[in-house]
Amino acid sequence: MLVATRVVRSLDIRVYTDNLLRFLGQSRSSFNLSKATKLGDVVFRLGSLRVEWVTLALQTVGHNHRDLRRISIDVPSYLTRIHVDPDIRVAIGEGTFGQWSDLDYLLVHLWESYSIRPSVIRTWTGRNKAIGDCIGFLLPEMMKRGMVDLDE
Amino acid sequence: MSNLPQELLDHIVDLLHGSQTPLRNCSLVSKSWVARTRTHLFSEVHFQTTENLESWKKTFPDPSTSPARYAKALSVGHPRVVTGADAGRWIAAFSRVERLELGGRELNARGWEVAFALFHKFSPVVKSIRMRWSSLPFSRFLYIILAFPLLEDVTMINCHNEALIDGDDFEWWSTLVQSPNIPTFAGSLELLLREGMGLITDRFLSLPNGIRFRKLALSWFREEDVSSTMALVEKCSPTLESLDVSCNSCGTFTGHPGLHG
Repeated sequence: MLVATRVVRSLDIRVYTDNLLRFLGQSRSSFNLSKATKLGDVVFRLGSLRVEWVTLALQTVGHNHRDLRRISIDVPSYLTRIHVDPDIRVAIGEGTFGQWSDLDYLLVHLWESYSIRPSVIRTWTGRNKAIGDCIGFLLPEMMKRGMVDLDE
Repeated sequence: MSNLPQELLDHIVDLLHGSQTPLRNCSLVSKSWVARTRTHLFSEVHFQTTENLESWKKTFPDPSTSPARYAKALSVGHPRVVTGADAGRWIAAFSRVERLELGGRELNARGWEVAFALFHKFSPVVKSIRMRWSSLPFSRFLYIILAFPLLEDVTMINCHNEALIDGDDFEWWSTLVQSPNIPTFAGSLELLLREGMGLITDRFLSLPNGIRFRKLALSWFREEDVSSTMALVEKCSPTLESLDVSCNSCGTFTGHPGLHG
């Protein structure tokens, strides 16, 4: 079996840490949307690569949310600077990658079970290929089903 | 033209809403056209610089006859707008404003104090308040938003680390919210706060009549603000139609092996 290895540079650069996620990670809590049954659309704007808080919030969405038609994930621009090759798990860490996998699974589930359309959006422009590659690795099932719009 | 019914003339002018030059031309056609054109020409008034203010005063020296009464939206961002000797007179003329915007980095602490005094109940029909500040007297802000019984939409933006400059007086707040005309807050709430998120959400949560916001856009920067933000969402759950949450952070230097330089 060929095992790809790559030395990844360790750089001291400015990135946003996620104090909220540290907090949420400890308490395993997030927004409880179970009673918000009139919701029509939800936007989660990410301040870091950690998405556990989004998954936790979306786990409270169910069949009672009949008006909910769109869930948007607003991704930060520094996603385009992540090494996706050879293995994005090395780049972002196994734990963070697992959070994205959980989110991917849940978004597909919400789409297939409740017809709630997920979309990945951004408030910045350019680097289309880089962001497409990265999201393809982070949300493979959504990408495979053509559910990633990458709206600008 | 003078034989046409006024309703028809008004309708013609209404169709030009947003087209400044045609509206100006219409206002010169006849006296019967002036009032209607003014409702559109002066529907939004912005005072962001001293030049804006001086120009207004020069053109309309008498506030009682100025077109201020046509304004539905008023935006004020410069301290001299509110600290001038005659500020009270002309602000009072904007008595039909529904959307009020205050703030900007130009408005200093003194400016805020004066502004809150001047704008307190200046228009009974205010439905929307938007505040953008660098240094805000916190308690005064709460005082002003409770002064408008029809208020539905609140926007508070503080993108800087300068923040609330006075203390938290919960006792004073508790007395204030006993007023019979507290707004129902059934529209939208947008909070983008580097400081004071917890304080402000706690105040909304403590309103005796509750809050019924249909739209929430919440952006916070400190982990200690998370629990009150979650509580705010939960409180509005029965009426909530749109939710936009932005998880930011304080920003520290860390090395991350997976990112290109």
